[in-house]
Amino acid sequence: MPDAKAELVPGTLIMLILRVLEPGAMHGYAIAQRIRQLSGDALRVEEGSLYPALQKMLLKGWVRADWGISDTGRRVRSYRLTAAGRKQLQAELAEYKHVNQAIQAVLKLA
Amino acid sequence: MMELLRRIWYLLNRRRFERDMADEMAYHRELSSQMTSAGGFSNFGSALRLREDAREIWGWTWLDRLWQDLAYGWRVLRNSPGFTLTAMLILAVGIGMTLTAFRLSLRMSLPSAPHPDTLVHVEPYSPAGHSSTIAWPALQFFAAHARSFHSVVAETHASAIFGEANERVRVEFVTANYFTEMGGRAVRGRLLVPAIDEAPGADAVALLNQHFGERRLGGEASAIGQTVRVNGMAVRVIGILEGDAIPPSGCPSRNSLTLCKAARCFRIGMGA
Repeated sequence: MPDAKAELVPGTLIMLILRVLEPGAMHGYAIAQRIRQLSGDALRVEEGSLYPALQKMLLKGWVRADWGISDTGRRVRSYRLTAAGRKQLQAELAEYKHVNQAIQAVLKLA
Repeated sequence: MMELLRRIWYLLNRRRFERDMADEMAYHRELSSQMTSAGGFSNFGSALRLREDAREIWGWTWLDRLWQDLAYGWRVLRNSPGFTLTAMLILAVGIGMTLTAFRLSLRMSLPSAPHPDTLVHVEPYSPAGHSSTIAWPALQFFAAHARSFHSVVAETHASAIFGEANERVRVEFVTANYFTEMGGRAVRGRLLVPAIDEAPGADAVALLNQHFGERRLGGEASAIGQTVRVNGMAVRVIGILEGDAIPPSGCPSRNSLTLCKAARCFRIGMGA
């Protein structure tokens, strides 16, 4: 793939993480992998942006982190959405849709 | 609010939080290096740097920096005791001297004021310039309406014609609350009392200083209760002040007579 590492649209990482966590709890690495898979390998979330984003979400109370044991018997921290996190996801989706429509409208005009 | 509580909770448990983060990131790197060897893609950054970025979210970085700066400062000072000692001495002498000079000048200019550091000198400013005197009605207005001051004291001095011999003397005009606020002691008789000397229809009264009382009115004891003439006006002597010092005051002004008529309080000083 010539350009394997597509840049994330700024401000969308948290929305993507919230969306990926909606079905159930997941650990950090799995979140990054999930986003990569679902985007058809187009979006890569690096450690350097994933963990600050997760910390911010913990601070805001959008996710909760719990330590568990993985299949391989290793201690892993998995994140789950809180009620506030679900609300935040809806708000961010609505906002994103709104902005996206606006951008599309401008592009069509051109 | 919850966010603030979470921040504080983080600060209190930061050792554990940071260990958790290190564990978590180590696990992440382990998994992604497995992927790399299987032909995947990975980015190894400095683990420390990455952890710092994530930690910054909690907003306590300034505390770490402050602590580092303090520790650094302490080390530098400890490593050069000569410099430290000199700096401390210069600071101590500089601050101490300034404070002492300030205290001394306060004591000298306001020797008896019980709380010299609470006194404020008020002068009216206008686009045309400033004046060191305030008209009596304006002063009365301030005294009645000022909320920032406990009380408003006024004084001004002038020379006046004293007694039958028309002698020129220096007179200090003060409001009746002057001694209550600025201190002072009467060796005989009494000081001015606002309740008496500010009452409507109160007599014009005067306090003499010791030297003046002895010279002009035949001794301290006989001076009390005498009526003397100041600028042709009858004024009753109510007390003798301790010492000869007259507190500093503004320049003689047109307002001084107004002030004396309304305040009806006199303090007669040394003959000019």
